[in-house]
Amino acid sequence: MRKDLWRDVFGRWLALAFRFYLGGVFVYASVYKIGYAAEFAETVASYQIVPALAVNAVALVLPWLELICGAMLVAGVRVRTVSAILGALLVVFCIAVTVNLLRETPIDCGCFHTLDERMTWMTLVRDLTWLGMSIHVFFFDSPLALERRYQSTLKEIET
Amino acid sequence: MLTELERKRLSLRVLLETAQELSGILQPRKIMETFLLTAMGPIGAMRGVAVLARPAGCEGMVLSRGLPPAEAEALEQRLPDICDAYFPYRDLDGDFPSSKIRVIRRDQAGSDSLLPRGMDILLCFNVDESHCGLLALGPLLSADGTGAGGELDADSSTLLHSLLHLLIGALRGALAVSNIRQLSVDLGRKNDRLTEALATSQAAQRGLDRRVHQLSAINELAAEMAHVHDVQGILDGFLLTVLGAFSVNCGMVLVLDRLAHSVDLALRGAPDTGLSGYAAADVLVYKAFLASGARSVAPLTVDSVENPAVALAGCGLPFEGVCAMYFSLDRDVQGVLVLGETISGEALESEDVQMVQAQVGTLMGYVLGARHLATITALNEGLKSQNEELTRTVNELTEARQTIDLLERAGERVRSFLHAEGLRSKRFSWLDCGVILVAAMLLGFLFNLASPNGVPLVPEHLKRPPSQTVTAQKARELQQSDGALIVDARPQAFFDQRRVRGAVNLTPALFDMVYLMRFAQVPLSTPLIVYGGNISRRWDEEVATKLTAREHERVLVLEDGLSSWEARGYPVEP
Repeated sequence: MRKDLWRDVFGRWLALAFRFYLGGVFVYASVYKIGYAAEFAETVASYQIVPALAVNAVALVLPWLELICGAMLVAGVRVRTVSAILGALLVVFCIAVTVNLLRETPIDCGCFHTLDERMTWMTLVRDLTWLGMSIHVFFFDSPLALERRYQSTLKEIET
Repeated sequence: MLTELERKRLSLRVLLETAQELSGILQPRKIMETFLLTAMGPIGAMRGVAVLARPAGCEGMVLSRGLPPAEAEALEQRLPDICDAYFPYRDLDGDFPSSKIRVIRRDQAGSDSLLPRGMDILLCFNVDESHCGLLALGPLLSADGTGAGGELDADSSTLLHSLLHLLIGALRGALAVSNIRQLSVDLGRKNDRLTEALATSQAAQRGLDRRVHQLSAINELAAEMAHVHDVQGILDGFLLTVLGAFSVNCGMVLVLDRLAHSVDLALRGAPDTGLSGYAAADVLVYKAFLASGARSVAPLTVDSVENPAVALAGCGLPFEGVCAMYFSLDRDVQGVLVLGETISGEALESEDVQMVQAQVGTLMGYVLGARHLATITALNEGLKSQNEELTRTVNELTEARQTIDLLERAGERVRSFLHAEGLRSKRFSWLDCGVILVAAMLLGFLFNLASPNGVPLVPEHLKRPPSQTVTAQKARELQQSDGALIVDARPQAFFDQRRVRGAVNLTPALFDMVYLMRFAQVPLSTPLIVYGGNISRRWDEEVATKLTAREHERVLVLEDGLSSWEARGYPVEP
């Protein structure tokens, strides 16, 4: 009984909290980037990873991907797929941050604003934390999902 | 000889006279009396007794002559004993001995005391099959007149026999006449009885005819009733038949239903005086009930009403009731039959009344049947309507069932869709990944097209021809010999971190402002060596392009940038 309770709290409800947090973070992060695409393109370029030809394209698509995935995560639609996508993005971010930290490139994180705090190892830790959250969300089912409405409706019909 | 002839003549004369005497007489007693008178003389007897008897019945007559009255009376009293003594064959029932005349000796007779003494001549004779006679004579007068003569001589005996034959013949005739008379009387009596019987049988015949008429009428009624199913029709038919069968002028029959509060009335030969109304009919039925022998309203009872003219007076009957019947079908349904006078004016016989009563019983059966039929018909109608209702309901149910089936199928499809969707939501899907990516790309590109802060998909400098380059070594020479100016095109953070010694920071973003401040006085002929590019951005190219546009004559881009400079060991700072 207690085991089930803990499993519930640390599984489903924690996953719900992570979902809302991560989704909110990504939606928030995407808004500015969408509005100021040129500046975000500079940020992307400052990482010195994306080829010059693709920098603008990445700067245009990435914020929208974050927005869509964040919104879907908060709403609880295709949670697994979305958390996987976000996890993959975070993995890429972590690699990019690590590479640039090792290069000692003097750049800002650019995660939320163009003029952000300088990128440090804490940035990597933060990204790894978010990655862990996305993995948790991937593996644990959570309540209050829009899609679960189907399930509950189905159960209502069957009973 | 002469004497002989004389005697014969005398005998014949006696016989003739006797025959003459006896010829006109028809009564046996008279014959016997006459015979005794005429026979005693010629025979010469002083006393005589003649008996005519029916041995079978020990009855007959005893006549005497010459006896004192007391003795004669005593002799009559002894007739049964005489019969027993002298006609011992009476039990033979008519089968008498063939000899007609028997001479009995005195000593042969069993009982001398039966006949007076001196009567020695005893003769028994048979008259016919049932009558016998006895003649006793004596004592004879002797020829000399002293009397006490003994036996008859031959002539006298012959004469006596002849006389007896005459007597027998006369008695037979008389008896035959008497028989015939008796027969005639019997015949007349029987004729009278026959006449009476005929009259009785004719009366019975008339009664039977009437019964037959009544029964045939009732039979017809039964045949007619078989096709009538309403109470009113049954009452009409019944009353008509009863009036005809019993020859009654007027009559009425009514049935009162207390539950339905209704009256069925049939009236003939008189006008309706309001008896079809419930209240009047109720009063009539109640009075009939009181006047009848009924003490309860037991089902299917019929009772005749005593003295209907008085009992039912004041009930509004349009005629005077002669015969009335109260009948009860059950607790709630009762009725009354009232018949008026007959056509002939005679009262109905008790048998007729009984028949009417029986017919009222039959009427009850018909009325009950009709009422039951009405109930059954009503029930049938109810059943029919219920059946229709049921059929309609079944049809509706069938339609509803079809609708439900349809809905169930739709529901099943929705459910399976939801189920699949539910499963999909739980699974990772590459398809979803692709869809999300494509959506993000479409939205991003479309938004960029519409946005005023849009960026070109491909950077502008990539479209232009690359600027003239210079190696690090050459650049060092130019710096040292020609006073070439090293321009760092990278953002300030990079510049601050590490730069070619003496380099000036000029980023594309702040180009115009910094140019005015630092390069306005630089002669256009001074060589400008620009560095600062990486995989993502060619700031050096951009700045070189801008400087060329400011009409500087020698703008060169350092090959491989800062890294090649450092690799050569040329001075950097800090």
